[in-house]
Amino acid sequence: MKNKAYIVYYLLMTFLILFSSSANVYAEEEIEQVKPRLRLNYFKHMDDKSELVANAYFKKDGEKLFCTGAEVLLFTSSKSDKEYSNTTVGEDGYARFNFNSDELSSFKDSSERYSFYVLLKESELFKERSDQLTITDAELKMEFLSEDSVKTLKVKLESFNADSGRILPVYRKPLKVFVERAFSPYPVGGDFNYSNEDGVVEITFPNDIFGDENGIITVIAKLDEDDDFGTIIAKSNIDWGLPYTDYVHTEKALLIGSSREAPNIIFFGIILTVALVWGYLIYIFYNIFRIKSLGKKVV
Amino acid sequence: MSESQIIQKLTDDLKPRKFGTMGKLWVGVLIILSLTGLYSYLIQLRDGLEITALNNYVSWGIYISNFVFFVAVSLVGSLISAILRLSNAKWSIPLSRIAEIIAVSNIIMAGLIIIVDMGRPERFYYLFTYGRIQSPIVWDVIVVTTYLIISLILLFLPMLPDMAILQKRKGEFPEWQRKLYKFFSFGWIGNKQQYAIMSRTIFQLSILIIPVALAIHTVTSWLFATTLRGGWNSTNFGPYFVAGAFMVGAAAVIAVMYAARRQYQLQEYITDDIFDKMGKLLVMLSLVYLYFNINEYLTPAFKQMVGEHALLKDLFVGQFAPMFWGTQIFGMLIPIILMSFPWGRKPRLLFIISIVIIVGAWFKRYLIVIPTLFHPYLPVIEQNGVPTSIVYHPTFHEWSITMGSLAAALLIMTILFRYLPFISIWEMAEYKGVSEDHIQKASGPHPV
Repeated sequence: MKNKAYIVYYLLMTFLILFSSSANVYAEEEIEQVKPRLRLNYFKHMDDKSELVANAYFKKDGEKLFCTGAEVLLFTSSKSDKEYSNTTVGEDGYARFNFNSDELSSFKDSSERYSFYVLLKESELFKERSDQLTITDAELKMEFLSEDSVKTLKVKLESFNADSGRILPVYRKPLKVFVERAFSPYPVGGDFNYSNEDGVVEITFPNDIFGDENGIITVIAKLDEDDDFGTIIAKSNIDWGLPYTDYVHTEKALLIGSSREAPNIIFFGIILTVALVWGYLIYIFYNIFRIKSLGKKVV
Repeated sequence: MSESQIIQKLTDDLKPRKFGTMGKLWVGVLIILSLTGLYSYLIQLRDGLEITALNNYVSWGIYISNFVFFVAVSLVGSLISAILRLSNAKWSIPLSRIAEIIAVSNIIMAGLIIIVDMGRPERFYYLFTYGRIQSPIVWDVIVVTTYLIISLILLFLPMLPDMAILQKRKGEFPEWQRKLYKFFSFGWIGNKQQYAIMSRTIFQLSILIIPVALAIHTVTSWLFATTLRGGWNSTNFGPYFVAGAFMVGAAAVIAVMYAARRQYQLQEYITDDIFDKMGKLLVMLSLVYLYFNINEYLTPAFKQMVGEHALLKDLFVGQFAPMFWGTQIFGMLIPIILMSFPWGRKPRLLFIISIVIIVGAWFKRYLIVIPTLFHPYLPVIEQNGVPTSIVYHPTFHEWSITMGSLAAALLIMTILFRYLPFISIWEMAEYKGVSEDHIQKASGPHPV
């Protein structure tokens, strides 16, 4: 009887200790606000689409984590009280604002430059953080020249100069050229091409790049993450590629094939071989069970 | 010595026995390594392949080279159990079950390591629902499964009379062990019909396993050779893989038979002469593999085509050169030279040579799989257009899983050695001239 009382007492105490300690754990748990980092990038696509991308992240134990779900506000200037737009940080750590040229004009300052002020709003998880970016508008143009079999691509970078009030070529900026491919873009014309006094980079275009069935390829010219102009991307289609003839395409797709033209014999050959081997193995299993049944019959 | 006495002595000598201290220590080490690998795998299941050093370029790392290694070692089952059996090489009788045990344990781990490499194991199911029969990967799944089944049958079918003999030995084994033997004797009573079916089936399976075994490693080589990559784009890859597999498989049998002979004092059965013969066989297989190696590297080195050039430079004088020359010199050339002399085929030295060959063979698979991935034909660029260099240094988890899988293969082997007669009692009796009738009687239901 005494033992039973002890057991009940110990069980009760254990339960109380566990309960009270877990309650304490929850009571002591406080969510600590982290100080996020904010990085702005401006992308201008020459087809009248521009994008301001805010990358919001923080570091914990040396690991980079994203401020997913945090609210991000966009203002036309740091002094502006009224936000222009707002969005939230996605799972990839980016908050995106898209504009056309009309919408961009709201951000123009007196020196004809675009000023963006972005604020990551304070929340339970994150402290407030802001960043601003000032961008000079620029244009990236492509000119395709072909003489005999030599194809030359000229990429020109121009910008409006507020002092002179004119559009002027931009000197010594690295311009890259790619051809759009299924996965990552394929670089052409070498790695480091800087614009000359006329704002031009001139490359001899390779003759051995495959295009679609009409030889059309998409050429991309890019100024990458420039401090003054941000990232500018121009795209253009041109029939400078080799026509890719997927001759099988025109044939009726067969049942099988490592390419679409693989003969049926592969398919039926494999199926037949597997069926024969496994058919024989089933016969082997039958024989093994015959051994067992023969053991039962004779004593 | 009468026939009954011969069978009695064989059973006494070859019945499964308990391990000594070293044996238990060995099992303990293998269990620890296997569990460590399992723990790392659980972490990988939780966090995904992110915990590995695999990346867009080196997407096949040491898991796949380990898979190729397992498949290679497993090929020995067909060499000893089938080829030597069919060629009537009676001296190989003590080795056939050892070879089958090695084959079964390695092919099991080959199948498992592929699932480890998948990262998302539940997607293995898609291979059956969405698999394309014309894909070498599907062929590999089919042929690995088939080979495993045939190897299991070839391991257990010739064991039926032995199981029947052992289950009659009351007091020598725990009751559960005797029940296990009774279960695996599969109703064997040693009558003529059973004996005829068993002999016929073993003979037929010995023939069937040869093309299947050749297929398993050829298909594995096609996983590589059907791509257009430097180092893999070769019509020789099938025989090149098969030759290498026979070599490492034979080395594995020598290593295991040496360990088994020492553990159980089986000098009478696994004789120095068998080591000598296996040594000669290994020299021959090594020479064939050496020939394929020369063939595989000399012709592309002569042509120096764009894709091959950078790869060969990396192998011959670049970052992989120490491993490449190490495997060629220590894993092949020196063993061939040493084993060419009679003293080089003495058990102890042959055992050491075999271990070196096995280690070299593992790294050789690493060299087949990984350096090629360092040299893709498409330009290596990151998303923002900046070129980057390809690196692959397997992480602790990858090594841990790989070591765990190797330990697990050895553990399966060890367990089978502990509880099964790893030299066929009835076949040895036959070899020693005991009549068929007497063997049947010994494995029958009545006491001999």
